[in-house]
Amino acid sequence: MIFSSLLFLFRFLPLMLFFYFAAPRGWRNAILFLGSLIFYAWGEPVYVVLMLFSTAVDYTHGQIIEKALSKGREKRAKAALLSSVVVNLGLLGVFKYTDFLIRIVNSFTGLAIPLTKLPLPIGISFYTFQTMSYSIDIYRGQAATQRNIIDFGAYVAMFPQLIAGPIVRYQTVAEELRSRRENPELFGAGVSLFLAGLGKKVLLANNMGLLWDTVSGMTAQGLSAATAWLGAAAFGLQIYFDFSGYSDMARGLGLMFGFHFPLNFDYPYISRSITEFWRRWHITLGTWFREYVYIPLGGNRRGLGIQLRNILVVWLLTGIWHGANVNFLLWGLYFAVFLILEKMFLLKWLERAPAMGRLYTLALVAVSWVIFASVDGAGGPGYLRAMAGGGAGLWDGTTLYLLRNYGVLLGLCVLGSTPGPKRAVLYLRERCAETVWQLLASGAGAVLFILCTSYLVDASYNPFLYFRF
Amino acid sequence: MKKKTVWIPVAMFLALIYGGMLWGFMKPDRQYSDTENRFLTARPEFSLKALFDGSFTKDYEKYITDQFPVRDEWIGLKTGVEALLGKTETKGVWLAREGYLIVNYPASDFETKRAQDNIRFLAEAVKDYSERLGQEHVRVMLVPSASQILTDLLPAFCPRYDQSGYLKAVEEAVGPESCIDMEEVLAAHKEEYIYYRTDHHWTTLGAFYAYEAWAESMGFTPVADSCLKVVSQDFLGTTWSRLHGMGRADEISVYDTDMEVTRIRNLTEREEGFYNWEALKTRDQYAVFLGGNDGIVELEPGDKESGQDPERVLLVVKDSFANCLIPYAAGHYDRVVVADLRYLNMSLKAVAEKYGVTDLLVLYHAQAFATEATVFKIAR
Repeated sequence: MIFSSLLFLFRFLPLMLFFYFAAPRGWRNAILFLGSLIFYAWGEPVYVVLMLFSTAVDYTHGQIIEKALSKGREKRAKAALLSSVVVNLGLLGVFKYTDFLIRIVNSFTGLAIPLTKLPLPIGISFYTFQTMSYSIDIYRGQAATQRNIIDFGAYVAMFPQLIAGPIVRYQTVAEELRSRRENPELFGAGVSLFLAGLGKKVLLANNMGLLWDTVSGMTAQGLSAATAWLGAAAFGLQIYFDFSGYSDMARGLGLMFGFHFPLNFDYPYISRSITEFWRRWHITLGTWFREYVYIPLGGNRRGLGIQLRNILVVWLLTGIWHGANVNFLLWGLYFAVFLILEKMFLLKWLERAPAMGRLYTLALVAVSWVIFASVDGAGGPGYLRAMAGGGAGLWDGTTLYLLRNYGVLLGLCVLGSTPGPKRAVLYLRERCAETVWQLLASGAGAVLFILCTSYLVDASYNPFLYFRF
Repeated sequence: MKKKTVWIPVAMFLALIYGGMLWGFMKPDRQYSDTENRFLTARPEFSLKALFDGSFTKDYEKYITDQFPVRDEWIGLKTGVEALLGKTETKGVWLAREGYLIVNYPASDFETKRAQDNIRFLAEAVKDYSERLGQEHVRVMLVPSASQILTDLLPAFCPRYDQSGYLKAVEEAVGPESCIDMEEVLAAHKEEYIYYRTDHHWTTLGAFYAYEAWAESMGFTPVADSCLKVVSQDFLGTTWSRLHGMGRADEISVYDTDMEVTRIRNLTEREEGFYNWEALKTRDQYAVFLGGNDGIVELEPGDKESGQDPERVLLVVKDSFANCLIPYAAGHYDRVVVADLRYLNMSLKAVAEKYGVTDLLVLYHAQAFATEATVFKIAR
């Protein structure tokens, strides 16, 4: 099930909220767990078993690790941690990367090992990372074991962040799993965040997706440079508003149920360097890799050489996390190269000219989205050539036609990529009486919700982008 | 004070989602959408098998979307928003000048194996019937879409697929002597009201110009005047139904003839006249012409003396575009037999033999001809 659907908005959510708030406090994690299983099983009636398996594995491993640690049996604890990581990565490996590896082996050796053609379980990359964080946090003594399997299940399966993040580390919500206070203030804030996210996804991202599909559907030879850049920008805006919209919806829903999930996107497109971009883009994934890969590998404390190696490792992993395909690996490598260059000398230069830095970052990121979008290498090289002017000239009538059709939306998207709108809202809020403000904000929210509903009823273009994650 | 105001957004949100859900529960399901001309998804049957292969949940989502309360109004709202955002194209329809909604038929309709195969079937049939009836008795007319003719009304620089390549390929395959160049005929009248604004069909005036060209090529003297009579002024057609908004309502005119004719639908149902006036009261007003599409329709002049064998019999193989042209053509024949291959369940050769057909006219909308799966029957 996805948030941006009539089924979720007008069936699942009202029923979920009803049962949740009607239940006594002690029952609420169980309701959340059960509701989340239904949410997941709706789209994956079979693979829900896999998620339960992953939950059970980390639940038991957590117990073993803690017991071993409390008895001072360091080795046993380490072995249990290793076993948990192996099982989680094993699941990910089998369901996500097997066919990728088989294809590589086949192409190098000329063998014809048949592909497994297993469909990828939705959200597996998110929940395996979450359950792993649990075992690791316990091993490091950063979190206490969860004795209640229902509470633990509620953490793993929690439907707001289950299928597209943010990746919530166990220690972040451990406290709130045990005791949290839902209240109308939090709920109201959750509603605003949820509606903002829904609008980002349905009104902005889906429309940018249409523009990108139109442009990427043309032949590279018939593509003028301006149209190609327009397309790349559209894809970048689509994925940003889609992904950050999902995260906002997740965080909003979290607030409704009394949870505080971490911020996932912090205006990445205003960054002045790639280094800054990655501090603002998909923050919870970056944090995960920093905490559980980069720092354990030595981070930046063991000399420049080791640090650069660590950057390379982390961004190759980041790349391949986004999909089992060579282009995602290349995409990660591409960023690693610029991050390393920035670390070595570029960052100092960029800091002296922030405007240049912004331009540089946007251009590099736009190119990166073309690599990201060309799964199996299809379209990539030709499209990049068109961006460089090697297609159908600098600009043409198609550019004007697309600008005419999407200009207003593009403008809204560009504006929405900056902190400007949020600042304007806060400014207004300070100057309004509380009641006036609440009425104003709720009215705007209702209009937004109604507009989104009209797009959903029309069953127009509404893709789910994270089926490869 | 603060305590109470924090409930405002909560109440707003809950009212919307619970309101939407309860309204959906109370509203009776609709079986058929006459604005969209299709059956809406019904509540899916639950079974364990359907649950585990994922079809139950998919169908249930379709069901909710199709049965959403005031569905048409939601779609209209969305179209309004799209127009407000400055879009000139939405859902494959151009919001064109002068209240026109023009369908953007993509290249993928014409550059397919089926589109090529259909040309082959047509060429085969034309060759066959020309041998039996004589080339001068066989004609093909493929009507280009509005997007091909009303180019001045389209948004600037719109990426329009040029259908003339396909039309030329058809002409080459069947031979130019049997093919009437409809693009030339209609383009000469592009300033006139020859296509509906809100429907993909041509108007009766458009059909009249086509009829003139056909009659001349057949050696008939066409009727001197189109004799149009306006019978509706509130027609909102198929293109409008996609959007539920924008565009300007159409007029429907019919050929006002005093010719008496009996219309026999599917061999049994006898009705009087070329037109079914009842259709004007429904959403699908275009069905006024011949009462819509049937597998086979015979048109017999009312003054025909019984027992006398008809001398000139025209067979029209067609889609709905022909329905408003046929009344003009009928004046030149003792009997007209209209076959719609989409619904015909006997062989066309048998039809031709049964009625002693002397002339053949194949008339299709070009895009429908290129995409239609039943054109193969023309050579059967």
